[in-house]
Amino acid sequence: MAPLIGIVLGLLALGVVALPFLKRGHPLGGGDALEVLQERRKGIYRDIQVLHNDLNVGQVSQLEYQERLQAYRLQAALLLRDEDRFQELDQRLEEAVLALRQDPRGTLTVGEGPLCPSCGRPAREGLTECPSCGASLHRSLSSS
Amino acid sequence: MAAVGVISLYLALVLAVYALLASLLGRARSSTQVLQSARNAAYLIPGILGLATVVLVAAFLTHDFQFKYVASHSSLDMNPIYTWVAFYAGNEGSLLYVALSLAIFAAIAIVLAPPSLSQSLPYTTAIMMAVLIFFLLVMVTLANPFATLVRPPLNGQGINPLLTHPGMFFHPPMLMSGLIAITVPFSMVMGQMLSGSVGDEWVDQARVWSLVAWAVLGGGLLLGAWWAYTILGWGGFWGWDPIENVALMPWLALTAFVHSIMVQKRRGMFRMWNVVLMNIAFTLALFGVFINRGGPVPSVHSFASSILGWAFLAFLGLSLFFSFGVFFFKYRDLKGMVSLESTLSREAAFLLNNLLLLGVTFVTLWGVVFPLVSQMFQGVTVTVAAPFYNQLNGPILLALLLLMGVGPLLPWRHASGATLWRAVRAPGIAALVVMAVLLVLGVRVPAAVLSFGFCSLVAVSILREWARGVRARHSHGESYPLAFLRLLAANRPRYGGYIVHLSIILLVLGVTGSIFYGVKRDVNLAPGDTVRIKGYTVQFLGARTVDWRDRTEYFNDMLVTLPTGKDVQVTAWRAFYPDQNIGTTRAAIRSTPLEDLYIVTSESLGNGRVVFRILVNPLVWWMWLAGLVFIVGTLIALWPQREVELAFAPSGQGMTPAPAGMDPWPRS
Repeated sequence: MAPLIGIVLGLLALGVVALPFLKRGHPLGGGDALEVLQERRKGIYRDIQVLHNDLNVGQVSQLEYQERLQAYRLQAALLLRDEDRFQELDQRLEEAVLALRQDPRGTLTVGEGPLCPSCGRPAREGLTECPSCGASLHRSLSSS
Repeated sequence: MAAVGVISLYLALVLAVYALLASLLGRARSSTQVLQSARNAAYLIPGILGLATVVLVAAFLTHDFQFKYVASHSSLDMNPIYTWVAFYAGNEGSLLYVALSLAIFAAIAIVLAPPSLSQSLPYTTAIMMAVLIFFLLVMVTLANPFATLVRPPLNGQGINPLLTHPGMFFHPPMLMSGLIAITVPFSMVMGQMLSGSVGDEWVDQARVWSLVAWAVLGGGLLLGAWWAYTILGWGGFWGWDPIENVALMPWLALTAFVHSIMVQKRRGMFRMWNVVLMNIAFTLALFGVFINRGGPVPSVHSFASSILGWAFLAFLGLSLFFSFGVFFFKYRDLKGMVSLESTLSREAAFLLNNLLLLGVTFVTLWGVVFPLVSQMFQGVTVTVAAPFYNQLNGPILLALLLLMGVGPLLPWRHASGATLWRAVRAPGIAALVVMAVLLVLGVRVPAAVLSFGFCSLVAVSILREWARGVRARHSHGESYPLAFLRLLAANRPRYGGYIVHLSIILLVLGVTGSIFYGVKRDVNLAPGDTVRIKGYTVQFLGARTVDWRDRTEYFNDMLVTLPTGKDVQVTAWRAFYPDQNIGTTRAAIRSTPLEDLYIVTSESLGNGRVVFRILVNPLVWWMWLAGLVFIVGTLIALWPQREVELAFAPSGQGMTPAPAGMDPWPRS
């Protein structure tokens, strides 16, 4: 009886552990980056809520309230900017991939110029190296 | 079925090793598949260890004495209700319990980890798994709960009678869970450092998990005090016993951490200090397990002494080397941009609070290790008793109490003398009035007067802030009860913390009252004899004896005339277990908010006469109430803040965050 239970448990464990390898994955962090930015922004909003409450119950002075509120606003605005950039880049990548599927011999370009195959950031036409990461821009998606 | 238990342990071990290696490999290769596989392995372990637990508990219920552990810690006479207690009554079972707790905590921590920790989570998982592997390895090599006997006995040796108490259902498991739960925030801190991240993403999660460990450990300590008070029969609740101390020390270090982490969150300060505090807390937790399971120090709690001490000592050394090694190599990343602006500020108060808490911790640590040191260097074991701790820790704890009242009144960054005076004036006057009244009423012990005075200072400062907040909300149209509830909800960590401070005040009231104003008498009474003590008249009515297979129980009935003139009958119970040569007691306790009348049987003399110890302990009732308040406060502090939606609304001053669901209370 015990060996049978052991075998069943072992197979069950093996199946659960092997399950992720049967699904297609994506590189680490790719899907999480936007969530991280949004999570941080939510945290700042919570801090602002607490700050408002602190002001109203006399826990912070008006001066400290203004200072901290401005700092929070700046942080939130920067995060919002990063989110916008991320979403815009994501959208352009989607469009570029779609275009490439329609014309597999083309170069991976987004908008006005090509995208770096290494870091994914846009680069101007005519450059041989990516200004962001220094990788070679000669490699097209179809040859990689 | 023992084989199923053994298989479960080995399978859990294999899964933990896999989870550790796959976490590191997945992180190194940035493979979500490998990382998810590692997480799946970690999620499976609680189920596998849960199965092992079920097997062991079932063996106790069916009196399967083929299990060596069951034969050693239970018998046919054992009340089945104590099966759960017997499960962790010895080393083997308690190690299984600790491993199960850690596996559950680790799985929950991984599931709840926010996306911002995705870079450090693999390291965090690996460290939690490394600790789990240690406990599993100890079980499969040195203390297997599923070891079997070739010739099973017809009856087992029985459970330690001191453990047959309701408090034992929660006190030991809460202590063990609390100690091992410190692994989670420790792993988060270490994981963040190993990931190379210099941010403070870990702060919120580490705070929550520290609070969980701190609350569970604190609850376990208080339940232990209740157990000692009712069953050990000496009339006290805290004896500075080494096993009590080793659970108290990590709790004190965690108390420092949960305060200090707030400074990091608010001001970005104390980043290195917080890592050091967490390392200290984790090291002390492992030290607690080492003393508890290894048993090098004699204690009333030493139910499970063994040679395991060396294994735990080695692991303690390894973890110390690892944690401070990581700190040494990474501490440059932790340097903050903000420094202390003034010694008269909230930050400085937090720092002083930390130093005082660590002061109590190290005094206690010295008291615990001194017998070992004296044995090592002088060949003589010197016992460190309560007066040592009381004399050294007493003044520090009083200073902490004062700081608990003054600290929250100080503004962040810097305060002027005038600001401080305005903040402290009302609570300070209240404290002085209380102390004056106490002196007039005849309370002359300086420590007691200061203690009660500081308690009133803390209470008034908290109640005043609540009153101010409620009034402000009420002026915007909220009813008083609603205003109070919304005030608590608006900043749960702070107001939950204040409720915990109130529970500490209740605890201090009980401790101060019973230490300084407790009355104790040992009396030798024959049936019909009467004794008077502090307004109570106690008449011994007679003894009844009941014989059981494993024990003889003695019921000593007393008629007590209360100071109010009312008569009540109470019974002091005592039992003797001849096979184990152990006696156990249940005190007769008549408890009121003012004081406890506590009667315990010391010895039955055989000629009908019985020796009793009778105590009147003032204010002890408030200590047990403190436990409930402590739980409520911690739950509020832990409860997540309301979720905000991500949206921006225009305002006259540019971009103004206006999260939906935000407090609708009008802004001033």
